[in-house]
Amino acid sequence: MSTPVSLRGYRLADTADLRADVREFVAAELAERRWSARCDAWLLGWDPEFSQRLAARGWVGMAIPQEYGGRAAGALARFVVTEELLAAGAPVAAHWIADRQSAPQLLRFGTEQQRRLFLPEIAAGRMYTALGLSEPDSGSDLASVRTAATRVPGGWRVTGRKVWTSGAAHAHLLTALVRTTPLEPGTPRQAGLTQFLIDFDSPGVQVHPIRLINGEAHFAEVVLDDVFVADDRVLGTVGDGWRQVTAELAYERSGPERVLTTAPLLLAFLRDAARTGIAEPAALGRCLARLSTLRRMTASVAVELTARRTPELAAALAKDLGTRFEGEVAEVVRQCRTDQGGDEVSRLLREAILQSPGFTLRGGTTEVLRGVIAKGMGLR
Amino acid sequence: MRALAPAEHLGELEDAVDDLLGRHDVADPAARPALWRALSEAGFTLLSISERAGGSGGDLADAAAVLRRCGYAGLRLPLVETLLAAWLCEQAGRPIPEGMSACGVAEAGTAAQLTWAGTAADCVLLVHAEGAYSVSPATTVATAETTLAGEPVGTATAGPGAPTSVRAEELRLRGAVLRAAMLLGAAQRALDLAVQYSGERVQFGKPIRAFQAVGHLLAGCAGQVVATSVALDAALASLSDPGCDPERQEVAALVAVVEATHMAGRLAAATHQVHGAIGFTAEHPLHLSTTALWSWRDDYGNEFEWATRLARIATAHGREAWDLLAD
Repeated sequence: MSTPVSLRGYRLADTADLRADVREFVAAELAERRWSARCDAWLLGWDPEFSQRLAARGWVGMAIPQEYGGRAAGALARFVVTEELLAAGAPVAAHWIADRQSAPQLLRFGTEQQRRLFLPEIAAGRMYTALGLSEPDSGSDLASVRTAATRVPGGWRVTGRKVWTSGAAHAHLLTALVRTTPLEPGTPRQAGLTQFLIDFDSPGVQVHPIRLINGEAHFAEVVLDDVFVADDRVLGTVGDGWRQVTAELAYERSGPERVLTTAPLLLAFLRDAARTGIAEPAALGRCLARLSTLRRMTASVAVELTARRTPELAAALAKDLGTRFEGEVAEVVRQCRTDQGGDEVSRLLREAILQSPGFTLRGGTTEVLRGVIAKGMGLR
Repeated sequence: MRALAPAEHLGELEDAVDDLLGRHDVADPAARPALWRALSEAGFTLLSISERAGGSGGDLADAAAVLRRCGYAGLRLPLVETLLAAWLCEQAGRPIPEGMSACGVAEAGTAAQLTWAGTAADCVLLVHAEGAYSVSPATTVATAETTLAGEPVGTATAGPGAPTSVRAEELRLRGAVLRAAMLLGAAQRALDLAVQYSGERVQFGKPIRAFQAVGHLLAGCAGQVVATSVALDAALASLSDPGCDPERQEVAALVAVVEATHMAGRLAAATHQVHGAIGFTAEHPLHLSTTALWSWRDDYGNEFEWATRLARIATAHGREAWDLLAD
């Protein structure tokens, strides 16, 4: 059979108590008007105090072992909490990358010293990270990065530019993919890359926010000008950066944030729909069916990840379907609305549309993902 | 979280079905009676019907595993219809049909355009009259028509029946879930054929699968198939769980049939596109899968109807529909 993956269905019923706890917390926060629901809140909703309130509940660093300050609650519990927070449009951006990506990377590739230094702070909701992958001339073709490091006593000197770095304006640590062995003709481009953990307050680091069409500036360009990085801030093995980055792509590609970015819009619309009616129920039903399926797909990838399998194909499939779904939600709500009032649905709809170009670009474009899937099917 | 996964025995069951089908010429209508006998003797035609009622036991996931492999093989036999007829009879405490059966809903005592009526030995109707339902054996007449999939059609007239609590919507949705398993099999086969052909057909000096447009088209198909598979697994588990809230069961079933019926037309179009003109010649096997996709997606309802029903249920729950959408 040529279908590249078989995803098992999972039932989420066993996590109902945890869901109820998160929902109660969210309801209390909303009642106190601490924040409003937003689309794409995992990028736009930067709120360190919220992150710390969540951490106090044990809902940050849930997958981090207890010896490093985490809850060791497992991937499924983390999945449920993130699903509920995304559906609520809660401001989770500050801790998001650290919790989702940096913590698993540190656990897998970090030194004991790095884990003891960073993981308890991540689990406390106090330490935020950013990903230094893309560059002005390296987007989908990540192996072409030019930011380079040269060896100096006790560490490295790094010079180059990273771009589309979410959260760079406020984060503490940049996980940067850097060329540490100059490219020689005949050697694979994927060789000679290394991951560094760079403090944003190191001398030589400059952050230039990039304003988007919605007026927000969660992206930034990060200029690294002869920045010293000590040996103990190498993440993993020198020269092994490509393998380390690609091994973690499943975390980046398969999470519920690749499905639920516009869920606050859909749920606000459903809340009002009983009163306002629906113009095109079949379109709405189709959209809801896909939401249900995608929630099951991302749940099963989350569980696969805990088994230390790297379901890269399954993650690529889920992200391809999920991010296209996120954009479709806005179109379906437009199609189904029967009133055009200036309510929360209108605001969320504007947010969803202005953020939508990014859905199918970030974390691997639809075109790159389809190439990954085609390769997995043996087509190339 | 419990995995709903296909238990190991499902793999063995699928292998046994493949093995049996491999010994027959599935595409030849003349081979159908022998094929039915073999499937029936192996106990594959009455899975999910209790042994007490005369069935083979097992659950819906077992029945669906057989249907999926039969769909993959391009089988044209009333497997879903017979399962539905037996289930209706079991629910109403009536003896289940012994052989092939047609099955459908009759308003005013007759059902027209009923697949397999007049060709299958038996026919069981769910008759709706004066706000109540009954299960009735029917007399049938075959017509000269066939479905898009080439399956025979007839008219059925209900005889005296026994009362039942099963409603038409319930029967139709159950039929659509079982049919979704066959659609999934047919889609997997169409996709396998397209993948294979894309490696064989050379144009501009290379196999067409080397062209990105073709690869991306097939990758999109794989996504549709996996989505349907995930949704169907969840629906089968929900329907097999006696402790599951009926509305959740209905939602899980609707999600699966929306995914399957939506996928069917897209898979048929894309796999024909990859095959070029050879794919819609009578000699090429692709049509066994694609005519099934076009035909079966309209059995018991269609994607617009299922999606509308899902939207109505969700809207009644407002924002809390979120909870119904994954259980």
